[in-house]
Amino acid sequence: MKRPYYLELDLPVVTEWLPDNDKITPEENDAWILREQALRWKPGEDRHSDWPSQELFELL
Amino acid sequence: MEAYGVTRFTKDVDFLIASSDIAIMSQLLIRAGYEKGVETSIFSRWKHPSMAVDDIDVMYVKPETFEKLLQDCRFLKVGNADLRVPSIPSLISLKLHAMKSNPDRIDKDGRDIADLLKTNPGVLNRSELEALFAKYSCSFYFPQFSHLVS
Repeated sequence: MKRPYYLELDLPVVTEWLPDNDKITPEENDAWILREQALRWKPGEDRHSDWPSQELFELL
Repeated sequence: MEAYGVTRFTKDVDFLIASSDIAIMSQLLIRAGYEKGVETSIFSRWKHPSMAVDDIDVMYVKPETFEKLLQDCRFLKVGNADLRVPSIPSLISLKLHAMKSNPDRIDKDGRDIADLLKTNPGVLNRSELEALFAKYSCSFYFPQFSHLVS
């Protein structure tokens, strides 16, 4: 009987792992939120959208 | 994991590609705005300038291994993309391989294996799961999982 393919996988030998993901401090997190907010649309600005500016908020 | 009904918190997205496709993958990710962070002989990590976009970790395998992993993959629709996800036995193989290579990963990958088996009963029987653990020199851990299969 043929062995299932998953018992024949030739996976690479791992000698070096990627480092753990960066840990974000609360200060970095807050700075990121401020930076992202600065890049986004603010009330009163032209969003170049077909939607009337208030319509989305009225739907909420 | 999500393709098989297991949701977990993660800060990145893992992809696995054939090593013959590294160049085209790099081109695509760079075009999408990603920058290569770290690269080893079998992994690379890609970061996007926006922290709202998850990191991408990529593992490279031999093209013939990649072909085997495609045999019974499942398609997962994410937005407009149809992603190919390895089968549960393949995913468990990858996780056992990781556990074998790095015992520090036993907690995390072991939990993923248990969740996959609990959420998808009958996908492997006891002897099949035992053979998988043996293949990856993880037989020592099998008793912790044997109650999850019949």
